Amino acid sequence: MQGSAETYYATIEVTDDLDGAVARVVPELERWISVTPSIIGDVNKGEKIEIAFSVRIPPDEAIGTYEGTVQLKQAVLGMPYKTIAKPLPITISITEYIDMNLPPDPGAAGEQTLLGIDSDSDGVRDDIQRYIHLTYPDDKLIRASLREYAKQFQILLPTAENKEASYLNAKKLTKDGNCVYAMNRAEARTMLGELRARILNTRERSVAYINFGDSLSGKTTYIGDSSKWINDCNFDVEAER
Amino acid sequence: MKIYNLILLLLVTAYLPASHAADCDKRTYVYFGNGMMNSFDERIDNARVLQERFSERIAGTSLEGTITYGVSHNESHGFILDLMEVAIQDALTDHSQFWRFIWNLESIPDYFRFKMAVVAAAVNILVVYEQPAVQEHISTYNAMLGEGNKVIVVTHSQGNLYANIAYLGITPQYRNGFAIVSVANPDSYVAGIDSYPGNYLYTTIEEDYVIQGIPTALPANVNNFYGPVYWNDYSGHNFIDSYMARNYAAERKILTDMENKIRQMSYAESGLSNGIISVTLTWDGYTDLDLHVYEPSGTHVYYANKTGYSGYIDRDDMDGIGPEHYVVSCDTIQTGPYKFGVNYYRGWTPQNAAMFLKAGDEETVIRYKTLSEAQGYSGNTNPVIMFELDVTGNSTDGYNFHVR
Repeated sequence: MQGSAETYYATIEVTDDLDGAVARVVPELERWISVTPSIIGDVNKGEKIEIAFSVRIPPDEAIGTYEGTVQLKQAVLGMPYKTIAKPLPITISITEYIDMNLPPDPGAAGEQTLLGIDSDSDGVRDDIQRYIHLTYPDDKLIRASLREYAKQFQILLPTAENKEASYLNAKKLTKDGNCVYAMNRAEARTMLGELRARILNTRERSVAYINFGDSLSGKTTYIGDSSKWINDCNFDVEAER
Repeated sequence: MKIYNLILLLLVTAYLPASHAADCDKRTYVYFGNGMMNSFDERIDNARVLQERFSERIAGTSLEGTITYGVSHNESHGFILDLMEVAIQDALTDHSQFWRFIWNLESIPDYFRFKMAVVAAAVNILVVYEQPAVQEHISTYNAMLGEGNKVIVVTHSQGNLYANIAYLGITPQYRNGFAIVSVANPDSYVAGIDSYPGNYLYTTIEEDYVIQGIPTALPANVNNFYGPVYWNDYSGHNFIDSYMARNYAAERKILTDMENKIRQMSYAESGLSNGIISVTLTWDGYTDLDLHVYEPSGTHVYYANKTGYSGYIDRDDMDGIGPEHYVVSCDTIQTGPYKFGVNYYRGWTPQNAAMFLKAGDEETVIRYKTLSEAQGYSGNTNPVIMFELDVTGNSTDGYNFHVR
């Protein structure tokens, strides 16, 4: 399911002595699956090895079925890896995350217009609403701050070529970003960047954002005192805690 | 120096936030001046990092609490768009990935790094020179300096071109209060009052692949990572990831340059007062334009009645190009509506008026208006209103400023 993270375990019983054994996921699946331990080393006949498969599906991953294998290989210095056991077949079926509180994934239909689809009229595009919810399922404050930030894009993109409007929107967007920083100073830059990258996922949206930045040419804006950025949050922080 | 004819509609309402404590002290304004591949949010992030690191550096010193941080916005001149179009044509199918490259969320491939260098090399002083944005920056810097503040522009990449040109427009007697701290400079010099070959205040790292490709650029002067490539930023050009990489030589140099400059600079002696609200009027011909203010009490403050209940006109210029200046101090501020206008009193040709409003210590707005003909005395009762400002709040909790 989109946005899910699970760990599965398998036990391998070794029937011959092994030197330098490693576990490898085929490239088709390695973006979702990691194997621990990946380097097994020397193993004697009759030993059992427990391997953990961590499966992590990003919330915006494409729905579909994907097949591949996990292989046990032998690493010999100066030689290519040699597969030493029958590969373990793995099938990943990615299904849509369904939550009664979330709108459905709009898919390609959500990319047809500048503002996309906001079926529940909460001011945030449905795909972005899902991304925020599924990426930060355990952090209400981060979700709230990112939603406010994302809302501002629905306002600034259509007016990106209007200098006065862009100036006002720039000040608001700065405050919404400050709020995210107040929630998580260390990760805010990355969280905001990843969110923006998803918001600006079409040419039309990207061009509007570039125009917004250019509309500010010649202006000066201020970022405020960082010790007071929490006051820039446009929601009741205490209520969300 | 030209004043450009930017006639802005005044119908949009602007909300300015609460000032912090009613602070009428002189301040140092540190602006990040962006290059052409910086998106809006990247500029803001860069200013945030400057604040974080510089605040740490000056904690406990006399500079603590005296700095206001912001961004002097420069346009991309189509170069981000060009880079995006080329990237999409060449290899990318996904606009999101383009932005991940730009924001260094994902390591950039060789072709992208090469394109960044090509784009940077295509921008030169001629591209920037005729930009109205430069004039706006000059007006802002002069207004801040004229009220006795200091201004430092920390310039990155092509932001250096803007700042070097802006320096030419700084009123000469204010130049002791203005400095450029140059980062990743593609230009061949750094403007400044004590800036000359061999003494330029700049930081360009040897790992900066983008600046390396610009033949006229000042040479690299910091070996930041002791290797040809810094893998956390393959371009070597990113302000935060390369130049402000924590505890590396470039970061230390930039912060040191900032602190040294602030301590060396002096406040301008312009005779203009600093206050919680101030308005500066300038124009472009040797004629007479007058600043008019209507205070919340209804008092009309202008050249014939220079002192109101809230503020006063401390500069009335009758035959130059301004400035005329009105200021409200922290002690006399009144809440309620203010109106700021201009009357073209005497002259023969259309005049371009520029009015700069500062409210609190973190909001500055400039508007322009072309005035077609002189109105004489009759204009005193009917000035052209350029700003309306509502002030609410109190001295304890701070004031809110709402500009129309």
